[in-house]
Amino acid sequence: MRILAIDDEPIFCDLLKTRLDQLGYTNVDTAFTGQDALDIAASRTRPVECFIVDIRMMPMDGIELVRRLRALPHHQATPIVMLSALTDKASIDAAFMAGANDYITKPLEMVELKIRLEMARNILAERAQARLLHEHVLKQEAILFPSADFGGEIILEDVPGAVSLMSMENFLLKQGNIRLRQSSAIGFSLPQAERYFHKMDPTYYAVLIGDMAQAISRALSAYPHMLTCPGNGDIVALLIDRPHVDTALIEENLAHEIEALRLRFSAIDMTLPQIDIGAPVRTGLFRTQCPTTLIARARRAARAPERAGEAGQLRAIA
Amino acid sequence: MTAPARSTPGSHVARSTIEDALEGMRRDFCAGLDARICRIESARLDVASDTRAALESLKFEAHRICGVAGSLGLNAVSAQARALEEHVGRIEGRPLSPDEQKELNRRVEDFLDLLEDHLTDD
Repeated sequence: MRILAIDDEPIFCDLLKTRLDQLGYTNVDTAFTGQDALDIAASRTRPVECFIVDIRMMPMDGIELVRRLRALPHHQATPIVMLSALTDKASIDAAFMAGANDYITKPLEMVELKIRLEMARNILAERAQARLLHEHVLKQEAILFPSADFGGEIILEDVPGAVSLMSMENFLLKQGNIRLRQSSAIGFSLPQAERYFHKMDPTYYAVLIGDMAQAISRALSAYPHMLTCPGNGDIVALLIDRPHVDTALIEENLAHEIEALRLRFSAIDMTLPQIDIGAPVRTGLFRTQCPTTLIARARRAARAPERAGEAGQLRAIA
Repeated sequence: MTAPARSTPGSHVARSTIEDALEGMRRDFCAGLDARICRIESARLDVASDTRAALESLKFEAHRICGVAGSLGLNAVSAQARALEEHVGRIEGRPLSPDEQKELNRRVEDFLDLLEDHLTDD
């Protein structure tokens, strides 16, 4: 894995390089400024496969650098791990919203560095799978994609706010309990998804889910959000810093977006599946559950009718 | 007699090589502390005339020292840098009372003393 580490402290770059070497990552380059990093990242002949970016740099800070890296077509899905002594939540949010996949804090801990880089390797593997699917769609060949499975995650590209399930879980794990209370998750479920999956080529099924996710993202455009497709016909949106959301408005927006999508699908004689919306779920102040259970609860809420103590389905758009 | 360098399972580079490299970096960091001390001292002197910029500069320097020093094993320096960064974060964005200026001065001086203790002539 070719890594580019960017930090405006040359000593820290040397230290990082030494530590990465110790972990077996020997293909590491360093840059001291955002502009130098962009110049290196622009190369397609020796592509960078993982970025480690310090947040607080001058004159271009790490968050701006991530935005610019994500604007490069060949780095839209490259793993980016942010690195900073900053522990304030605003920086964490800004980094994730700009497109970072993970975040580690200075001083550097070897165990944490190792875990985060293993995560970056996983993202690379997911990306390779997504690229294969994408190429398959481009070829429009009606052959089965052998690794595609109904319960497997669908990696979205080109959908605003789309992140991998792992990135969303990482984000939730980085939030403190009180801060977590400020965010809510909404699950969306396609009850006939499995039928569609078995009737369609898995590649086209992934495209269908991607279109639905795009519609959801548009419907949520008023809220800072992240979106993930964990599998089984589910889509989960995390609304950041929005404990109370106008669900009626979201339903109305989504119905409008789905209607526009329906016209496109009917033009190719295809029926759009029904989409169920779950009530928003939040983490209780004194709950001891792992933050990532928010995703599972949002998925359940989209599938089940409302029960005492548990959020349930709000509406079905057919 | 020094034990021969040996790789531990999962490690790529011999431990003594890493320790040598880290020691070299620690020496470089300490030798370069004089420039950081000058910048901090200069920011401290500017607090009365240009509070916002001076506090921003103090916070930035403390932040950078915190990250590097802690990663090099200079934990006391890192902890005090973080404490200073957090203190500046609490008081920035408004005019400082005389007591706050005094408290800030005290903290910066303590921090500079600590940095000077680590300063080497390399």
